[in-house]
Amino acid sequence: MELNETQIQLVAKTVEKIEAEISKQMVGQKELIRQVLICILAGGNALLEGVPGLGKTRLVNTIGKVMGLKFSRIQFTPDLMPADVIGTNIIIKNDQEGGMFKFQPGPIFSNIVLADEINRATPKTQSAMLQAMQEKTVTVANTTYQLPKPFFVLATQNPIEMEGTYPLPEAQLDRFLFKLYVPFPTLEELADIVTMTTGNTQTELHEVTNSEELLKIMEISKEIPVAKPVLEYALKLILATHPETEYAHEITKKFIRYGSSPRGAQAIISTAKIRALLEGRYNVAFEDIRYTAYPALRHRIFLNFEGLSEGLTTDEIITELIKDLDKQNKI
Amino acid sequence: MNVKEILKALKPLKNKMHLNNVLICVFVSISTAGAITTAMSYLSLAMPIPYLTKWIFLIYTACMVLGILISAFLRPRNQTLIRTADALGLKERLITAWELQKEETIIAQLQRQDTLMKVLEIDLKSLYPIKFPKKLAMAIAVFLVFTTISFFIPTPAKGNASQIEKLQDTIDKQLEEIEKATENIKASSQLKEAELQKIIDETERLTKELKKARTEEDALKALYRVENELEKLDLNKQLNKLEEAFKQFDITNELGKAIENESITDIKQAIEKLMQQMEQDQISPEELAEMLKQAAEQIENEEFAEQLQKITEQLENISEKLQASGEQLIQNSMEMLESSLQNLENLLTEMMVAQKNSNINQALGQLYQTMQQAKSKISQVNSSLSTNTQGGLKNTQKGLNGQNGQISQGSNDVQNSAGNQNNNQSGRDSQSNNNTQSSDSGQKTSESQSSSQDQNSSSQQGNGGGGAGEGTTNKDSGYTGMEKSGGGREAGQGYEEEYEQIYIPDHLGGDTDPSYVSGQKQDGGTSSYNQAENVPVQKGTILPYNEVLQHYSNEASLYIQKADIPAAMKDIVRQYFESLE
Repeated sequence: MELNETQIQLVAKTVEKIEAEISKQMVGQKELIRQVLICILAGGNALLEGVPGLGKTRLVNTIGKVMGLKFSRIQFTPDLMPADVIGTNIIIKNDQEGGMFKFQPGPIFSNIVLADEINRATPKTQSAMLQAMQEKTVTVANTTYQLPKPFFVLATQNPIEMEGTYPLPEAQLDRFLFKLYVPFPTLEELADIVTMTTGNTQTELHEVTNSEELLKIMEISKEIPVAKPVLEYALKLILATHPETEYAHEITKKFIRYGSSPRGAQAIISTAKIRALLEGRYNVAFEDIRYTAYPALRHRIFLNFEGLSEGLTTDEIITELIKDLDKQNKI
Repeated sequence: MNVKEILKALKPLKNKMHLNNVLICVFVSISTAGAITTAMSYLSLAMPIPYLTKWIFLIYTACMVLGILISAFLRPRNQTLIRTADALGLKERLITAWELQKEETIIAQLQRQDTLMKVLEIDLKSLYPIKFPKKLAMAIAVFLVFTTISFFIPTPAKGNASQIEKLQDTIDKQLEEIEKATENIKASSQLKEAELQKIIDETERLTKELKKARTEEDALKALYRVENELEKLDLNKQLNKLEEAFKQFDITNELGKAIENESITDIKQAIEKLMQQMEQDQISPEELAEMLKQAAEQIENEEFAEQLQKITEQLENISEKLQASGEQLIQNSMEMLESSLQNLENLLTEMMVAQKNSNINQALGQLYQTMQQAKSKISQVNSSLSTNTQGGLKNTQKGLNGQNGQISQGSNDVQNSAGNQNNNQSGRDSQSNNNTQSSDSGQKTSESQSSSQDQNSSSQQGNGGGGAGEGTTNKDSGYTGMEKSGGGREAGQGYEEEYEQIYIPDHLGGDTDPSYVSGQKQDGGTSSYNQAENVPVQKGTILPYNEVLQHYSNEASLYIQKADIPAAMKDIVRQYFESLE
């Protein structure tokens, strides 16, 4: 791909514009917005976790509008079937030819798919999302359909009300580039939210970019160089999550059952590149790795019984691992 | 736009990093010096380490200099510089630029531009702090404190170390004097090349040996050895020895006197007289040969000794011929005898003339004086180290000097008399005749001493023989000071002092608790006597003289180092073995 200076310098500006536009509709949540954007620009899917009413759906909706992308929302329930997500062949009656099957695309055929409360669907339906999330295609009755580009799944799940839910299996979790926690707003933010949503003021959102521009940004971001020590840092962090490797920290050996898959490393590097670009740099820094490590690894590390019983979180483990790595690298 | 420009912009930071490295390196080297010197200072408590303070100073200086030198090469490498700069806020821009330095893609160029911009934007030099190595500074302080403490802990090893220091100082000082004297000889004297070379060789050898010397014994041995070697060049001494050898026999007594008078005429007359006596058959050639042989053995100068040996051989040949023929002196033999005596006369005349014409005596005189001074100073080092030994040394020196009828003034007199060649000679004589002198002047005293305390006999002999009236009274040894010294002045009169005991009497049961053997003396009992005409010596128990001499010499040397005996007595022992060697 032929790049030029203007294109590269345009990326940061475009993202800034997107963020500014989203901020019109979203109060606070700046870090979340940035992380979601990073995830989208890296071409990945995000899992948003937070209690109801924090604006998850609103965020995804706004992003879709601002980016000029086709947006669809699927509310996952236990009786939701895979065909309800990806679509199905239906018989269409024709006067001349009689009845015939025609593929009726499901809501997944969008640029941005909001899989709301994904953990409420049965594993069968959840797994229907697997191919779409990873390969950006769906197969129905021996026919594979390409999903529109760009394609992102932004799934949400509720950490409470676990009764009657089906926790996402490890394989499916691994398909999400980021797992993001949606924080509760502060007092000021809450006040703004209430004011904004209970009044008559209507905020008009503008389309800041389009799918073509987004694809270009995604291409540009891949050109960002990563220095060898920085890459090693990221890879060592991944290896440090595996209790059986020589890089394993004491805490890893004690509390981790399974470490991150190589997809974790890919997630860290690809998102770190975007983050560097957004920070106005043409190189990935250690701090980019540290920044992206949490959302990229927190759902890829599985605690053992001891870890769970100690009440540890994967974020705490990641913090320890980063500290240890920084110490080793004298950063 | 390339990486070199970026590195150039980083130069101030690089210099500051280098400065930091220098600081750390110097502190590391000083703390290393601190560790070494602390170890040394505590080691010095157990074993003598001479010049410890100097060594400590030297180690600190050397380590500091070494640290500074090494730090000159500790200029930070580019990789280190890059890593440090990145850590100071460049956010891995530099390392990325470094890796992409050969790439010319747009992103690489943009990255380099961005990096340079940031490098120029951020004042990295001010962000990089000069880290004062606190831990190292504390370590140095601790080492210094421990080293200082060790200086206040008194141990015998420290005493020994100071002894060695004093000895080394004295040796060095005396070496300078000897070198000066040698230089003077080289510059001023008109010696033969061989003589000058010999002197130079010997002084060089002496310098080497003295530098190697670790004990007083080694140093003095070296001095004696060289002195003996130089004596061979001294014709005056050679003639003196010949004179003494001739004086021992009646028949050559006149010849000895002629040498003493330094008169060539007298020598001629003495030779003529000898010839007459031989003609009259009063002296046989064999007798004369024997005397000359003994005289030849006294001469150390190889050239003259060889000539004298030849004359001796000639006389022995004549004697053999006469015995073989069984006749009286025949004409032929007489001629040969005349020729031999003529040779003797020529030799003595030659020696006399050579001695008068030679400048070597003058040249050696200066060197002797310096060497005597060196010996005296080195001996003083040992004597001044122990206060117990000091008293004994003074007394003995007094006694020894007093034998020449001089008032002894302690060890300084030894030095003064040593400076004079003739005095030195007489000093030696007095030492060798010590017993005789004592018996003349202090016989009575000697007897009383031996009956009461054998160990003090030498000391008392010295007092008696000295005749200086400074006789000391040692109450500890059982003397009351009533004995009269040789000079007629009562020993201890007016000078009665409490001296520290030099020798501790070792009586069974001590002074206050005498021991007795029970029983009664009777005439009974048997005893047997065996008359042994020859000592039964087994084969292999007798060893040649030259094989045992070195062993005996070494044993004696070791013993006088350990034993608490006065330095002058040590000199006697040394001289004895030197003369044997």
